[in-house]
Amino acid sequence: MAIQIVMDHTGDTRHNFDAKNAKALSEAEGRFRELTLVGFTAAARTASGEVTVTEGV
Amino acid sequence: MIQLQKRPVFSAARRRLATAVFEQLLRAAKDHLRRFLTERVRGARVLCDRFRSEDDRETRGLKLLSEWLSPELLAQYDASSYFDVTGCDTGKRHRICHGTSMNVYELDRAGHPLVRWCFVPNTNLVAGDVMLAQKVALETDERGALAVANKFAPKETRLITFIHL
Repeated sequence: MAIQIVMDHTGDTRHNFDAKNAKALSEAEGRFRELTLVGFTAAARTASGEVTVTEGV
Repeated sequence: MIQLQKRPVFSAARRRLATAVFEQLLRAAKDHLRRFLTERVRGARVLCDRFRSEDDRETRGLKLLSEWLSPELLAQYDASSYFDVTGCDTGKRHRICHGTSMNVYELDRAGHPLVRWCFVPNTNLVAGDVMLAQKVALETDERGALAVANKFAPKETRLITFIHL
């Protein structure tokens, strides 16, 4: 299960999705595009704890 | 000498009228009181919900931060209310203290604060989310973050010397 976490003034909101499910993945990609278009920066944390800025879901 | 006072004597009809007026006034006062209390209770509930929601936001923010910190950084944060990160561009150490602004210090090799930085996300976030955003910024785009940051001298440390004379 993958998680997109959105941080805004309402606190953080978690969107869980199954990355193997095409529909769920497409929705997550849509959310990603919408948020990055309005100026959100997407960051991902690797298993080792390293933080990277990411360009896609 | 006793002065007699004339006591008003009401007729039965007048007594009934006075009672009716009194009851009406009492009802009106009760209605006012009920409305007043209802409004106050509603106001208190709204206030309570707002506090609960803010508290909830704070808690979620700190939970998220703790999920992103390594066990070492989490221990440091739990013990001292700050954690240190390494800038991705300069390799310098930065200390992120608990807070929402003016809470980032650049450290020298000995771990003493050299400069105090102020940079925050462009939206109103709770402390946990702000600190996480600052960590991500310093670890992925240190130069970009510090380019928009305000720079201050670190807080003065007050030294008190006791002299025995």
